[in-house]
Amino acid sequence: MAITYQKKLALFRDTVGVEEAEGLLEWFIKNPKSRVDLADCQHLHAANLQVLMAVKPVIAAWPKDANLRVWLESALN
Amino acid sequence: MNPLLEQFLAEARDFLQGIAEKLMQLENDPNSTVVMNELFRLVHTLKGNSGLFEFPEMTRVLHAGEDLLDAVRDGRVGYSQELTDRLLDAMDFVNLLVDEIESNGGGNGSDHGQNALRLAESLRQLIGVTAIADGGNAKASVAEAFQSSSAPNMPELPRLAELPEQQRMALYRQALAGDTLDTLLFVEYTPEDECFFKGEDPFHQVRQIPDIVWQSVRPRELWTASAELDAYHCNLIFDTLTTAAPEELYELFRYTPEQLRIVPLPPIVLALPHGDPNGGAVYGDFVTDALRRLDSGDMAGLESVARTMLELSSPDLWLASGLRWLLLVLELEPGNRHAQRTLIGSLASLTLPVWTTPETATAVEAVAGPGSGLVGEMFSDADARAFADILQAQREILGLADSDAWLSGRLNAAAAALAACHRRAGRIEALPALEAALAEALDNVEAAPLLAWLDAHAPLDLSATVGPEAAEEAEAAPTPIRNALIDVEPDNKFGRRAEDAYVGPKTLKVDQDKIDNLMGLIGEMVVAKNSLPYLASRAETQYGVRELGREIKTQYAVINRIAEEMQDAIMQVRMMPMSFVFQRFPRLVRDTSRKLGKEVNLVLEGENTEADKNIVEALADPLIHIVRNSLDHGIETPEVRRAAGKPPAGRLTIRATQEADRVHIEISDDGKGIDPIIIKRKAYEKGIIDEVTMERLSDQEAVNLVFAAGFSTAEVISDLSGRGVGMDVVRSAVEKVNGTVSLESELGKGTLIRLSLPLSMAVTSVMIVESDKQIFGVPMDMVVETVRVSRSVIRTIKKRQTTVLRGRIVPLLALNDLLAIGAEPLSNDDDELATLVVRVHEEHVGIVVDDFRETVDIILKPMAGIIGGLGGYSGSALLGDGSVLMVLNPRELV
Amino acid sequence: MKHILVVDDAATVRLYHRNILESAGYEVDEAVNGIEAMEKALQTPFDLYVVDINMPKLDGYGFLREIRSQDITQVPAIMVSTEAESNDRQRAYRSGANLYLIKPVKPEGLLTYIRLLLGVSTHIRPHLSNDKAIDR
Repeated sequence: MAITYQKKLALFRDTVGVEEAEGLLEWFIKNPKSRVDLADCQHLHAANLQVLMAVKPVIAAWPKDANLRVWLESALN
Repeated sequence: MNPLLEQFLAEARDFLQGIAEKLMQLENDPNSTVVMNELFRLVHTLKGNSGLFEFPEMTRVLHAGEDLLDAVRDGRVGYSQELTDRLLDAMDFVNLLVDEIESNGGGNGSDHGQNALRLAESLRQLIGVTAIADGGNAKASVAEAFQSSSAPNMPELPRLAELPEQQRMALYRQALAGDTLDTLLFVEYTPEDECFFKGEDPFHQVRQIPDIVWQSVRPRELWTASAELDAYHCNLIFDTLTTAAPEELYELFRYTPEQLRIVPLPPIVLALPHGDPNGGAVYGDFVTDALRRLDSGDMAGLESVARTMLELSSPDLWLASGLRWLLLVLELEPGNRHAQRTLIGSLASLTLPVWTTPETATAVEAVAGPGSGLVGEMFSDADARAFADILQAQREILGLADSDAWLSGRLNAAAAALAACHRRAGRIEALPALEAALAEALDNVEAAPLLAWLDAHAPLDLSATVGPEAAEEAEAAPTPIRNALIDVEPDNKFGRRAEDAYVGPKTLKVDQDKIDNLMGLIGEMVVAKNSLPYLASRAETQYGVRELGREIKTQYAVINRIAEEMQDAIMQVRMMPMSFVFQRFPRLVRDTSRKLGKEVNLVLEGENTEADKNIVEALADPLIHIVRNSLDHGIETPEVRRAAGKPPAGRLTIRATQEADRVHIEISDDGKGIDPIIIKRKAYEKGIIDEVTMERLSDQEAVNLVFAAGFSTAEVISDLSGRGVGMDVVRSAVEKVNGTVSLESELGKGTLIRLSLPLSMAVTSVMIVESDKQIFGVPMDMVVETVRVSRSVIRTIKKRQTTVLRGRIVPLLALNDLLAIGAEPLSNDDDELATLVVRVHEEHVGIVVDDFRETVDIILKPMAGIIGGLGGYSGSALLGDGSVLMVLNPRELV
Repeated sequence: MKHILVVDDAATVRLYHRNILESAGYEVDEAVNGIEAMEKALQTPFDLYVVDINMPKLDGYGFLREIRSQDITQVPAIMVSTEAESNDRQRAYRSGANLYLIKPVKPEGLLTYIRLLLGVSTHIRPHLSNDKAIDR
């Protein structure tokens, strides 16, 4: 699984595919005010991106991938 | 594999072949515009085709090739051999891709990206310096195309200010240094709602955009609460600013260009001051002073006061940032008063400057029409956009000069298009005026009245008139038009009535196995019909019903005719032109001769001569062998040829002709020919002939020694001043399909090799002979004649029986002896021996048998299994009465 | 049924367009160059032409000029081109095209344009509204 759900933290790793988006959204609904760790994420499918944009969680860590980070900062800040 | 892809692959091969041919022709005649245009067309079309699929490597290389050829065509780049070489390399690569796609069934296998880049680069290199200017043009025109399909609108870019000022300034500088002002593109990408279900990842797609300098992602509609959010309904819009070429974007988004809006931006949009706005009022005087200097054209003064002010200001202030921009604009765009004024104004108001240029300002108005109120409810956005595009196109058409002879046709057509799309849009009330305008335009032979109508009914005005009245109209109509439009689709789709003739493709692709199967069946039928004559004779002799026997024979004649026609028809299906083999030669000859430092003109004749697929395919290798030999050993280097008084370029002719049921192929060169003395000596040294034979052999016979097995060895190749490399291989390959090969050579003048092959090899005609109460078949194409030789004229020379036939000494061999049957040949009542004269390696040999029988058509089945190794037979066949006929191979027998 | 002539020397492109058009219920005929297109156009009253530019014998411009000179003026023509030729748009319009599209043309886009250019409307398909009227 490209997303690991901890207590109040969703850990994104590698490439997060389209199929994760629904689960991610449900998790956010069940766990409001959770945070997201994107450090080891290489790419996330646009569906996940829009979930993040809609939910606006706190970003615990930005991606190490510079290109992805620039994109996500412009989308989520 | 889907049919479209299959079609593409088949056509791609044809095109590649055509491209190779044209390149060869161009080499001989570099100035031919006809060939050049044709070559360009082929590459161009192939590129277009590849664009229908996801083969970026192929498209990239072909695109580069097309650009290069375009440059050559326009005279921007001269023709060179280098050019042909690189293009050939590139086409080889494309060929490879085609092969791979075919074997993978569609997937473009491994990573050829590097090669594609390298090849494209090597092609573009040849376009050289001039290419840059051209690239600029292409860019501009593509950008233009984008604009025309998606009306330009100055995007709002407030967040652009988030880019560090230094970076923006560098970009601004860079953009102004470029050839065009369009080097900065604003790209707005709005994926469709349902794109996730189509396996698309717009985020991934947008991340592929090269040279992004700024990006932002925003929702199309405000986000709903998490609980109501649909994760799989795409609600994103991606904005980017890039310095990439429009072609690259077009390539990247070629499947969804309509989801893309590209607006070339004037670099000035980067000029956005930022910083701490405190302290603005203090400098009020400066603004007045600066504007006064600007108005009076005192640019030096303006620069000077701006510089002084900047030195006095803290660099973190909004003011300082604005001044830095002002100074930069004064430096790089001294003539852009509008920009300078706007910047000064922004210093006064402490708000971001709003960058609109006159063109973009009008564009904004123009685009406001179609999407919004124009046709309201009944049109989808796509319809509205298309409607606007069509109107725009007709406007452009009507705006053209009125000078062409076919002007009235063009006006009619434009009016018809306008009428059609208005009808479709439900705007029929505009049509009478359109008709009137058309009539007037035709009378006056000018477009103006139609343009006037267009202006009066253009989107801008229309949107004003579509008010409550139009809404009412839609209300009053029995069916909302929207519904009607939706219903049109299924009606069209399934409305094909039985009487609507189906126009299918005229060419069928059939698997070769199916044809082979058909061929096998007709072969069996040919054989089966052969049983009827047996039946007829049995009816006569055994049952004594002559009448029935005769009737069977009549019926047999009918069936025989049909079977033969059927066989012919199926043969025709299998026929292939010799060009299938010939087409490789231009390239082969070119490459080989250049490697050898020789000049060779290749002449191909009779490429359309057809033969059975198997024959044509079987010919490929022997022919290549012969051509190689000719190039290696026949044709001399230009120096040698000149010394011998020949033209420096050698000539190699390959000619195919059809004669009755055989195909003849002649390969001739004007090289140095074969020296019979050297051949004799070599053959003697190799132990192929003895001393006596060496003395006795005629020159022609000596030359034929090159066909002898074991003649060719590496040693021979190196020092033989003629040919003979693997000619035995050629001979056996040709004989395998019942062909013959012969060679004539004249020392110093050249060599001619003749191949003769049957048109088809599926059904063989054999003569049945009888010996010692057994029957055997002999292929008819080897039989010269059948004679009855009286014992009295048989002479024994050197223990061998011979006779003289038509002035020629013919050795006689008894079939019984050849097959080790311990019986004497039977003679007839006149003491004559039945002798079958056959041609073996251009010599006539008489084979003595007991009696001749009829000739029959059979399907020859090669000997397989244990008897496969049995020499002297070429195969077996089933006869009409069910018996098995062994077919002899006289070549091996004698 | 509306009858459309696709003129292109590339069989692949012809098939591509045929697939799109037939899927939308149009009847499709093909021509491989301007000459053949001309012959067919004079024989058959097509409702629309989809024309390539670069073709042997007679190119797309030539074909359009011919038909516009020969009184085939009511039939809309869409010219399709690859991007390299996009600056030829003007030439296309001058020759008598009604619309200039860039290859590869997206199926929905092409069909939208064609529907508009064919001017299909409720007025010529009265039977369509009948059912709806009953529904009401």
